[in-house]
Amino acid sequence: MKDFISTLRAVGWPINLLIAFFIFITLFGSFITPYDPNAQDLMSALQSFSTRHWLGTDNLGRDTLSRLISGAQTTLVGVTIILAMAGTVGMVLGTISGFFGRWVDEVIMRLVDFGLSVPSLFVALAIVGVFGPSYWNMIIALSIAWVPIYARLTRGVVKAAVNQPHIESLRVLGASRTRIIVHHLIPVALGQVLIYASADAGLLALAIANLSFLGLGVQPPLAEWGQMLVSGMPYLQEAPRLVILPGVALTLMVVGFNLFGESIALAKNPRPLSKRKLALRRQLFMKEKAA
Amino acid sequence: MLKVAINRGMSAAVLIVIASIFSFIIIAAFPGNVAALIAELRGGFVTHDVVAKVAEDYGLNDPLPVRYFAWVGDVLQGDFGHSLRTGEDVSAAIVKRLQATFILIAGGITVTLIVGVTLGFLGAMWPNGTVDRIVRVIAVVCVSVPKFFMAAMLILAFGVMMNLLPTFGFRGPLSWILPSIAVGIVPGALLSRIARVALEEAMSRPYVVTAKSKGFGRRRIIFRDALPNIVPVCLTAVGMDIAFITQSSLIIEPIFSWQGVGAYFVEAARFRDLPVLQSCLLLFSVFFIIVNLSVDLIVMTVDPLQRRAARA
Repeated sequence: MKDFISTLRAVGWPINLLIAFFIFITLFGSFITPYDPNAQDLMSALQSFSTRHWLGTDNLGRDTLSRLISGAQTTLVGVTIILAMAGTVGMVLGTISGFFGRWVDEVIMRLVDFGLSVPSLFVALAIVGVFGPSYWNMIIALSIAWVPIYARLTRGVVKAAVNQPHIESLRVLGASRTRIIVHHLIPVALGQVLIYASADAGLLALAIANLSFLGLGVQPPLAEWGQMLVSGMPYLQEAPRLVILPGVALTLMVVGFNLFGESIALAKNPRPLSKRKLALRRQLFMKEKAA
Repeated sequence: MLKVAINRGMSAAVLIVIASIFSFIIIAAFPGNVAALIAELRGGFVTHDVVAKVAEDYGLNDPLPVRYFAWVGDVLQGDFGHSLRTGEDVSAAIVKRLQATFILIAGGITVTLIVGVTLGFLGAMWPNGTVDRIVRVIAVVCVSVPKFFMAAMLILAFGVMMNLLPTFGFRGPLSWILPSIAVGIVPGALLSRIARVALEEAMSRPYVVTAKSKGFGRRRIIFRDALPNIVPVCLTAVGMDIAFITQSSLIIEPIFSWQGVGAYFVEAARFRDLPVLQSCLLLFSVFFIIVNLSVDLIVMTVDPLQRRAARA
């Protein structure tokens, strides 16, 4: 917990606030939406900003603010599920590959190499294309597309850890393979995977929006930003806000996640630091000491 | 060097085989009866006999390995089958669409290089100055902007509001500008960041300190000592950018209604056009594997350190 708080402190409050805002909306959004996000009211279609509809209405008279909030839920829930699934499967594969080595490693890593050499959107699109567009197929497709990254990451961590003295002494002490893997390798890998996942969340949010934009992800009437944007495209001239608002919302979320992940990665794996960063780090350290 | 190159080529070949297996398996994993789907798409009255005949025609009753090798044999002869939806020859359709995609990739790379080199240069000349800071912010935001949003904003600004550039269709060089910008800006911003960070790192190396103590000027140090050392990093980044831009073609081509391979792939995914889906996936995978391989080899020829590491 202390670790968690100090990490958050290293990230900086504007980014934390942004992320917290999106998480809050996801958890409690359904209580604060002024309207039902899917309720159509054709009499008040395509209205501009007003006190009744703060951010106006779309072509079917649905309240844009409510749909934006509901879109945040769709995206964040999707991102969480995908990260959990891809992370778990990737960690299992990576641990097997790193721990057992030899031909198991060779086979798994060749598959991973293929997965990494082809951009994830292609793999996801092909899978959705075969199984048909739907919310869950999109989740599964993106999870499969993201597995190789985590498998590669975990394998690297596990391979580095396996040959270290403390693991060797465990073997000498007679610890079983399962015990070594579950108690000593997975926790190490988990930390790395979590760091990486926090940086990946932004990319995943983009991927969900991309698929939905192409009509192959989240299906209407469920609100999702990419899909809101594409349904607003025909009204680009008369009501550009229908395109701009979801785009800005998505950009904000992705910026937030990217900066969040970047600063966490920076705080967690100290790399050879540049002078500027070194000075910054020293400053932070002095502040902590003074406090 | 040659030995290493052959080695890399071999592993690329293995990857291509995996790509073909993946493209094949994904269609074989199709839930439901492919023969029934084809029969339905052909129209007419679908009976058990029709479905059975379709299955026989397409060789769907054969065991998987037999079907795989038959498919690979066809592909090697340039026969990608026929579209389920329109019945047209897939290889002919792809060849027809290659031009648009290549122009998009070429235009995108041009924009990437212009943006990346300019921003990177501005940042590097005055490190940590105002320009550098602004460039950094632009880069962070650019990386996070969805491609389709960028495209929509470009259409809104240059097409709808200023009415300067065509926003629709593949009609001459003027209509190439907006899509190229839409795909090129993000990798350009990324490239400038990568170049900046690499340069910063190179500037803290001992050889730069030596050059400084010899009394050389900053410009000379940057251009003679630091820049050559970040070329390999930048080349790798450009290789990744090609992959990124090709991926963007999936989204940008439909927005600007270009008849490219990316749009073809998306269309196929939408209509479950299995042969098209399979062929496009295979072609794109092979393309990426070859791009990766060439970038690796080029970096190896350029960078003596890499060559030595590869030999060891």
